[in-house]
Amino acid sequence: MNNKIIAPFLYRLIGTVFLLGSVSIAQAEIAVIAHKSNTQHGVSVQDIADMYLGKLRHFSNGKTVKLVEPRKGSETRRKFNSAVLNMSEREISRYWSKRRFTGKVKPPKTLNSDREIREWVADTPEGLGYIDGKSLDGSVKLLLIIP
Amino acid sequence: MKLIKAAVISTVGLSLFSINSAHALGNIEFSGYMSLKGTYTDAKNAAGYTDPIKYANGFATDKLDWDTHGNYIGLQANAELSSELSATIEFQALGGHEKYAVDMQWAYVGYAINDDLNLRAGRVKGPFYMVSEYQEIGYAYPWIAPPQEVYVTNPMRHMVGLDMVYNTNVDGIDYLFEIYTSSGKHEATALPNFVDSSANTMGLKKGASIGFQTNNMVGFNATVGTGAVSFRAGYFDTKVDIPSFGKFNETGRFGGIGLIVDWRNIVIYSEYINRDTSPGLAAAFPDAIAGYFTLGYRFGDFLPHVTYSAMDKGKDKSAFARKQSSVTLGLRYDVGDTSAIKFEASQVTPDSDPGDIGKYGVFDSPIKGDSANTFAVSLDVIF
Repeated sequence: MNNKIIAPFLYRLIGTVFLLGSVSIAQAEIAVIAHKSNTQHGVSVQDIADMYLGKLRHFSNGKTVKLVEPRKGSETRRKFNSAVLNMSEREISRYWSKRRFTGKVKPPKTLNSDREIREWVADTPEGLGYIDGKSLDGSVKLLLIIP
Repeated sequence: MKLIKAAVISTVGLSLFSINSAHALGNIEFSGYMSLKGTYTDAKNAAGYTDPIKYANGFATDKLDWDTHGNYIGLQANAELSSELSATIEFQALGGHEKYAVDMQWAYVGYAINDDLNLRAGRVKGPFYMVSEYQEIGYAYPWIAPPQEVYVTNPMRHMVGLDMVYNTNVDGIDYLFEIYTSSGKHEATALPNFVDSSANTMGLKKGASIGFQTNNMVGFNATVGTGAVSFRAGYFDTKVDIPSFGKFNETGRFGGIGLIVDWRNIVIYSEYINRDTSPGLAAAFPDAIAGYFTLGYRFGDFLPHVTYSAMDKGKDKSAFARKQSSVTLGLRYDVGDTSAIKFEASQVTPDSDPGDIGKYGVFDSPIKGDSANTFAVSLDVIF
């Protein structure tokens, strides 16, 4: 719950500093990234969780979201699962098995590396993804940092 | 057809070596599932009956059987054609008497009117009962197969038509409303007690397949819930033709409510259904009511569970309506992140009303004694 309140402030703080171009994120952190043209200002951890579980399908500015996530076994994914979704890989697997095949909700697209995710988000106006903080560069917009 | 089958099987085979649960090839994403079962029942025929022992249309026989009607392999491909338009196809092969014949379960085009509202046209799995849409994806639920008493009352797997799905989340609560209209051609197995009765004037044999057609089906499906608790209600009304029985424009109405709880370590599945058909369907699809309650508790990767399930005659009290109850003890063990091994033992008690020709339950013949046991193991995988 604290994250929900802190996140937007954290975003503004870090976002501002980042725009000054003088900071790089520590490696243990997860960077939630969007397309450069995205007008979204920050995003809460709760919204990110809802998006990754297929419950929320658009940004708060009304724009449709298209999700990407690292493949199973990725350390960043493991951290994201526990910090944001509060679920184990098995719980997530069971969750999507009930939904994926019904065609009603689509799970996030999976890519193999931070570089692929960053490039896909940079190329996809509706894109949202997350990568290890150390893989962040100026090609994408930083929406949130998850410590 | 053989070529498609070979392609599906080899793709399935290859995919098993991969740890991802979805695979992309350009704009097309693949996913799939497999369920392999071994089943056995210790049932014996009552005196005077000589047909092979069969439970639930071939789910189990009196030999340890690894090639049952409950084995499935499926492969789904989903292509995004534009940001609004997508196409999905799914091939499925069933074991047992269907001999892994490959069948197209899904073939539809989806159109996203907006983020929450989707229109689908084509062949889809009907949301007839609570787990109908993923009935073959054993990985998705605790049991080896959804309780037979409820799920044998629905003889349809898919439908062809139009379906509109509204999905939304308000204040942490998920809502799904779906309406559909469809028609479809289906096959059902002749009721064994009908086959054995004097009413079987057409000389049908046990296991005979009866073709039937549904027309003007109209239905809805609604779920409301959080991640932990979800309620479901559904209803559909359809016209039914069974040409081989000389029945046309009969009516079938199916209603059901259900509940899924997955809270802390407590798992509950429960469902109640009512099948109400016109008198002309009393020999093939008589009125029925059925329900089950499953309670389980997760200990890490282990989920032991117990189910009580029962079916009874519905309003028309047809002589061919089946009665049965069962108690099932089961254990699901999650191996890795995408597969589960399951064990189940059920004590099944067929029943009948005075005047019926025998206690069949969902066996092919009346059984010796009051009840019989069925045993099953399964490996369920998604990829």
